[in-house]
Amino acid sequence: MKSSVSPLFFYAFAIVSVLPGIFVLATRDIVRAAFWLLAALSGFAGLYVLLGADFLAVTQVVVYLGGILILILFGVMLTHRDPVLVKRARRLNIVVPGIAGGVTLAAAAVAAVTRAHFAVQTEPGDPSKALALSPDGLTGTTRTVGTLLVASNEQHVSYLLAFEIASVLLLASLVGAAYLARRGDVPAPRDAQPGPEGA
Amino acid sequence: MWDIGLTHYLVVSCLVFGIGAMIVMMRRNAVAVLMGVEMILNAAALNFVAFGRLLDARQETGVAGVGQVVGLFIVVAAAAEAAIALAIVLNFFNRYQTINLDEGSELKE
Repeated sequence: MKSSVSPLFFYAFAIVSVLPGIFVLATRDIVRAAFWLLAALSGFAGLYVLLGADFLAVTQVVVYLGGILILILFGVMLTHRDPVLVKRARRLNIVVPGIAGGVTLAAAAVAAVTRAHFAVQTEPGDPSKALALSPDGLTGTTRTVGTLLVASNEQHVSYLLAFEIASVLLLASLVGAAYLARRGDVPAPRDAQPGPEGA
Repeated sequence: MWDIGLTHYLVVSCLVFGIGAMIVMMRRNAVAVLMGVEMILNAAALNFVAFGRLLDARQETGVAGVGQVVGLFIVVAAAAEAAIALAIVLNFFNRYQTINLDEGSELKE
């Protein structure tokens, strides 16, 4: 009991996770949308902390807020001068089905998870599970996660193969991204003169 | 209401998933659509972590760690996807001078 935190933290992080998503949806300015996305991902990091997943929370901050969001901001800046997108108004034949479909999807999912009874669920009133900062006091779960990733013992098998496949996937995707984003055989703009030095 | 359980986390995840789906469906900016995909992936990762953490303690040990490991793999997949998607968006912008998804209705010029 003494290792649990107030449920207010859960509600605060839940609001920080959900509400900025609506602003990402509603705002016209893509830079503001990027910063609202930063707020939403920070709320997710807080929820991970409440679930005792401290290593995943730090990974979320480092990879998402430090990496992916910077990447998105670079994409915004490199593609910002877009006259078509700025002038075009939000059309009703996109807004109405989009909101209807999304609300229906979310409502159906919420109704499903609130009615479902998971056979292995803990009791909701067990505060040491749902809101404990860490299952083992202050030791954290980094050791558990690292052991699961690379070392197998008699209790569990490791995820070493998936770990290696993920690393190869990252390498291949970064090479592929560098190949795709190069300015090689992109057709020259209309006002450019085809010089002897080529493209 | 003050007893936070598995359902609370699942509801948050469902709401964020719905918002992300709406962003993917409604925004015409390719970078904004990418943000919606990131929110959907985060909602899925939160489901994994919550299930891993809040399963019954009578289950075998290490379940919480498994949920977090799957969450880590989702983060890796999201990073790879963001890099590839932004490279494609840059290529698209270089060819069409726009990132409006409605303009990109053909595979080949």
